[in-house]
Amino acid sequence: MLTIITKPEEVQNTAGEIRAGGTDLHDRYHLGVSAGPIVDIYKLKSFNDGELGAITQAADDSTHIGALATIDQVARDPIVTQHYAGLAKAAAGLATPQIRSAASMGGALLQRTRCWFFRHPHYVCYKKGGDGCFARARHNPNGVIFDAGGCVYPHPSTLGMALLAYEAEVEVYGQGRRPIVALYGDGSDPTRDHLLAPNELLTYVHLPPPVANERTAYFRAIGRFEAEWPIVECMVRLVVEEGAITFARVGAGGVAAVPLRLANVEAELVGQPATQATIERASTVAAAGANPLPHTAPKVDFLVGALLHTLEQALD
Amino acid sequence: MMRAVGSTLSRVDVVDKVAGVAQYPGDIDLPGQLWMKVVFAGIPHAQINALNVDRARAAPGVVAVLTAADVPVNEYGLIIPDQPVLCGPGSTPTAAHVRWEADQIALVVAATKAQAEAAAQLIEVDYTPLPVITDPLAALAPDAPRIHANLPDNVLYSYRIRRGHMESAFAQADVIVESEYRTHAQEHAYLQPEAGLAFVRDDGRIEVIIAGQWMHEDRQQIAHALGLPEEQIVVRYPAIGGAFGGREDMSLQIVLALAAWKTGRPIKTIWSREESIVGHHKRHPFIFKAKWGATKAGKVVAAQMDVISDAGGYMYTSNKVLGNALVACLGPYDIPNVHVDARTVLTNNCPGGAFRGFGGPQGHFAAEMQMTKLAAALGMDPVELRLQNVLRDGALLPTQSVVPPGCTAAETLEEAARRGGWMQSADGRWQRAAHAPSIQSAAGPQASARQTSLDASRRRIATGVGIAVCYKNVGFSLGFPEHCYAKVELYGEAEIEKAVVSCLGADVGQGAHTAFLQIAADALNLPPERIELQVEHTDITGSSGSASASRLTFMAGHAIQGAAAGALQEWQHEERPARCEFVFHPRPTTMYDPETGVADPSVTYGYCAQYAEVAVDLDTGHVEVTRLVSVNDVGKAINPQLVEGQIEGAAAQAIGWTLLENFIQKDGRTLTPHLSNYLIPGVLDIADVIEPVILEIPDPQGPLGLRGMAEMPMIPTAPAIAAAIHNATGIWIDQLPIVPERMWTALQAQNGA
Repeated sequence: MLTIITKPEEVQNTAGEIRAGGTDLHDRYHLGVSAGPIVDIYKLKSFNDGELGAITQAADDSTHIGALATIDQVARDPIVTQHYAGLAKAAAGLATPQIRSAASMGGALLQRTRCWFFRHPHYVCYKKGGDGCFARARHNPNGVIFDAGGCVYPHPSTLGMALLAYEAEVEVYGQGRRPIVALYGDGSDPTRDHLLAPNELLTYVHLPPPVANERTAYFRAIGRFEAEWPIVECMVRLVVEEGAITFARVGAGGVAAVPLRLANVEAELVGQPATQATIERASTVAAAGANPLPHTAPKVDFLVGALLHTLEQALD
Repeated sequence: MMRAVGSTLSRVDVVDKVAGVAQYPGDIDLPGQLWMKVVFAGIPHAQINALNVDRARAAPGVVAVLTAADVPVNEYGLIIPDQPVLCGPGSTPTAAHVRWEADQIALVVAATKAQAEAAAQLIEVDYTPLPVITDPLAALAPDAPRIHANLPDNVLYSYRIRRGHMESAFAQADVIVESEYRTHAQEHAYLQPEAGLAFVRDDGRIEVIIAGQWMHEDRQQIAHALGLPEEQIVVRYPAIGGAFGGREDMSLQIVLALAAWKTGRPIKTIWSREESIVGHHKRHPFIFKAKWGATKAGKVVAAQMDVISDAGGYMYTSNKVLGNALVACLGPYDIPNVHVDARTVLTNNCPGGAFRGFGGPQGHFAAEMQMTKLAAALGMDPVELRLQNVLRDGALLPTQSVVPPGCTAAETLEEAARRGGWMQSADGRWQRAAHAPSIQSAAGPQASARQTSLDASRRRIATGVGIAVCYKNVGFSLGFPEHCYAKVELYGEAEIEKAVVSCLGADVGQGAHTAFLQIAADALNLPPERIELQVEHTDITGSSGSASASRLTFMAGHAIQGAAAGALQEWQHEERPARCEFVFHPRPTTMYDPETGVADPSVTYGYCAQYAEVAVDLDTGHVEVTRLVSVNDVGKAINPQLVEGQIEGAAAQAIGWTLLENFIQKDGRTLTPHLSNYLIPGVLDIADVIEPVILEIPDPQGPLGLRGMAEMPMIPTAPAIAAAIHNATGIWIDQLPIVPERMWTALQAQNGA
């Protein structure tokens, strides 16, 4: 069954899976992994003079991205490309032009896992009400390298990872803002891809005012040149003053059940000279605590290499 | 008048396809049509005890739910009818046995797609699950469960070759190379997923509109399953969105006809991409155990091969593919002592079947890797070693028949070598020019490429080059009755105003119909615009055979020339219109002797050699093909632009198979049914430079000297890339695909060592 809502409050009285751009949900529905009902929120784009589909800058220079803004909008918007260039690069680097044109910011954050077993109708795993992870025992070269013991498939949200590095907040209708890290938790609950309840509606992403003179880079390691889920991806923001790194934010994706912010790497960078030696040392820290699966050992090296490459790009 | 043959005449379908006007089966709608949902078993091995479709039949919009009990003769198959049209109780005893997850168990016919799909969810199946076999080696164990009751060892088919004396030959060898090679399944990924329509015509016959590769074979199999005479069935092919062998075995033809016949209504269906990937066969995975010996002088004296292919649950074309691999795994070489045992084995995996190259890519991967390794072991140049052993006119095939005249394996290899930097020295020996990266220095990684500082490239890259050569049969082989019909009608009074040329070879995207037109134009000495092609359906003329085995232009070319000559003769006799129907029969072939493999297996062969340059990222294991030279002897290029298209398309498909495409099944279930996780190459994943090189050395048997060429450029790519990887890194990768994880793991092992 399909319910189309036109006001955010209607979601609280409507049972079903929320559909925005539909690029994830429609796929699952089509595969028999999701049975609906569907609550379509696309018409909310016109709510509040179109705010939910817009990207706007506030008086304090913070920026608000409506949850129904498309990924393509995020990639091209002048505010984002000028002040949050890393986010724009991440948005431009994911999926395909068709997907980016249809998929929404909110959907990108709340999409379900891309695990092959989750998306196969036969396998009932943690995330479908079962009590196990089939990828753990069967086939997991795409899996995590920071294994929390439950689901071993990495979180798919590139934008979630990028927004962690931007210390963004997300707003849930009727509840106000929360840090984006609270959207995902620590990944220890294998039944969840995010921590929103079924009737909670993500409405905005809020970006703090831009940091002056920051250098950003995003790198996505994939097996073909484009249009693939990342093996490993990294996002870096750096400020260099008088030859020293004074500010660092580092995100990593494709390696854990939730997008990661690598605070230990940031600590290795800040206060250090902006040299190759510094970033090589900091990159190796990214692998600290990695406990890869039988097939994911290469990803530990990939993470270190990808991060080094991203840091090099940021310093370039 | 300008000759049409040899010109780059625009394709006959180019405007319609570019403008989006061409009609593929999925684009066609018929008045009053119903939608059909095909229900897959969804379980790879089971007995169906009962199938309850009552709730589905009662669902809104449902007109019919058909099961095994509704199929008059519930069996089909291109080679043998070993597959139920619909699995389930109510027909033959073996039909209740599910052997593959995509075995079809029911057809739900409803007013709309949504209604058909909703009703399909209401079907209740009582299964007894059976043990699932996914490893062909495990399937050979004495206590393995049987996939088919009449095959107690799960061996579906086997061949052998015995030539010479192996023991004394290996004793004579100075070096012996032993390896095991594994190749993997490949999805055809054609542009148009399976789709079609069927309806009962006003004359009471059933017409099926479908995309296939062989209209008359489709017709025969539909008629067999429906228990009707073939004349009762008409098969029509509109535009076909690619095939590559994937439409050689049937998927929807019979069930569409059945549903139309049972309901009396037009029936339509289109498979989703996921249904397509799960629901049709794949390139066979193979395992080769190889032992080859050569003398210091560079003569390969012995080749011993043990070959196993994974047939999946049914025959499809497994025995034919195995028959090709039987000789392909020895490469295009004259080896005096040969011992091959080849088996195709049943499992509960997706069936293996026809795919461009038909056992050639798999067999040549093993053979050409062995040759490259022998060259390294002997310290010989790989081109020189190959040329010392390559088949030439007058040589014996492993099957002890003389290679058909016009063998040009050496010529293609020499041209690829020249373009790759090899030269022939004064003593006649081939070696790579000194300025090029040396094959001989391939003992280890190119250490100089290892960089850690912030330089321009920022990547540690090793580069290398490799070369490989192949041959592939043209036409149906091993005694199969090969023939091709064509018909020509000439209209006019004093002069020929119009010619109608009928030939039912399928244009699967390769441009066959354009080639037909060009051959006919020259045969009739008419401009192409005065020729009308009739190519659409089975009523037009007799069978042209399949668009497969690199045969169509060869066979149809002969048939069209024959029909044109006959019609012109009639024209001279004042017949108006002048007509001639001609059937071309090539020279006969023979099946392998069961003990020795002695045979004259194929009408003729085509030849291709390729030179590859690669860059291996030593940090990530990512392999990039930076240049691929593909040299193809096509005898005569009827349309050079179409030939180049075939070569470039094959390069993309072969690079995908070698480096990227990774079809994963677990427990008999497909885990990569999406193009988001079954990765076919994008335009940037194909070689930076592809150089299609056309040689035109006539085949004495070919019309206008042409050779079949569609499959050959698919074949040497994998071993050429693997040789280049070895040249770059010193690592032999014996298993495909060479995805980054596999390459990285091998690099780590090398570093650890």
